[in-house]
Amino acid sequence: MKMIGNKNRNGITFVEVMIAFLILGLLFLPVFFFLTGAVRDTEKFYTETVAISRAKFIMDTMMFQIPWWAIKDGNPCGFTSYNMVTKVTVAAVGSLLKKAVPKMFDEGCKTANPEEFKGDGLYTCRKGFKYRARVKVVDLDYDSTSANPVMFSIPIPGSPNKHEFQINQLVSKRDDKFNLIKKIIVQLKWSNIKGKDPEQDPLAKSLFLVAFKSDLEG
Amino acid sequence: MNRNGIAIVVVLFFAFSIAIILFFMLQSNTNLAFQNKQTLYQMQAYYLAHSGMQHAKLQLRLLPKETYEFFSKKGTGNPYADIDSSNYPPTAMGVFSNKNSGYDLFKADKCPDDKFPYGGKYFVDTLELLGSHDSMKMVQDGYKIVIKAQIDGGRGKIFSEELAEEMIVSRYTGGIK
Repeated sequence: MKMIGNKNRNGITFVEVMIAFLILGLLFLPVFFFLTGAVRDTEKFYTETVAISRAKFIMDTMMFQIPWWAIKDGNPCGFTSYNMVTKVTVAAVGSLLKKAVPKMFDEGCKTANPEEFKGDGLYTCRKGFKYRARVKVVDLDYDSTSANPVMFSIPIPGSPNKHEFQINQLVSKRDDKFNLIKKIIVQLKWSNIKGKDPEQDPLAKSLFLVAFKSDLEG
Repeated sequence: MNRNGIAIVVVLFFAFSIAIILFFMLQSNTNLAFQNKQTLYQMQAYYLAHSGMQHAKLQLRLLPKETYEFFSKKGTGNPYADIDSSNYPPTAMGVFSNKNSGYDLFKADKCPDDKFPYGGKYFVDTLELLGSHDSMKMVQDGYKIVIKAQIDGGRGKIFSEELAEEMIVSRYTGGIK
């Protein structure tokens, strides 16, 4: 309390106000950085969530919807409605592929043959982020894995021996291969910069799903 | 009443409140990142479990008679114990490794056929014969298969998934219902 000319002046001094502003300024600087960072993080989590859900959609469709024989090996893999075993184009599978594959991969999955697609494409989400999806399929067939093949074995009770079979003993050659299991690898690659193709972004993110699809139809 | 310095006290109180709010916002962001990672690892384990189930069904289709004979001859234990992805090089995904981080399907030299982008495995945990219909025209056996799958997330983090299914198999044709 200061007495100036017999007047009582209560209040905050100029120095106090300046110190208060300084503290507030120092306080709001990290808040500002945090809020701009939070907006960036929210978009980062959004793109990651979209990538996860697209990878799941692709893998679900390949594991549980598309027939085993309709998936061709390669990087990117192929999809066809022509059954190499029966030598017939299956119309129902053709219409499934025509609807499902463009939804799975979007731009770039079509080929010159309307009955065939490839497992590769570029998808742009509603917010404008771009995602590349690619699927690699490897046939774990007898010839390519004959050094260390997948075996099918069952122990014989009361005996040290087993019933043991190799793939070529259990299935006939189809599409020029003895094959029963396909390895499927799905990759989703995306950029956290709106409108940027992840292939052009050195900081692009990726996620993977791996599964093995067995021939339960033959 | 002496109110000198009250502004600083008020500002410090305000600063403390903001710091608390910031702390919780930061924590919620960290949680979101953690949940996305968990979801992905769990999904990877889910597909490995389904891979194991398809592998077991394939063997049941191919060897229905041999599988039944194991149980009819009083075999004990798990007759499908060999269905373990880590037993065979083509399906052996191995464990978590920093070498996997460079895996990229968009670069031909970064995705060799024998490599995987992450580590994990599936195996048949149990196979039970639930019952048989011997007197019917179609000889059928009921089985219960339990598959377990694991994903190695690194730093000792293992994500597991279990899948159980009951099915009826034609003993001589391998048809599955």
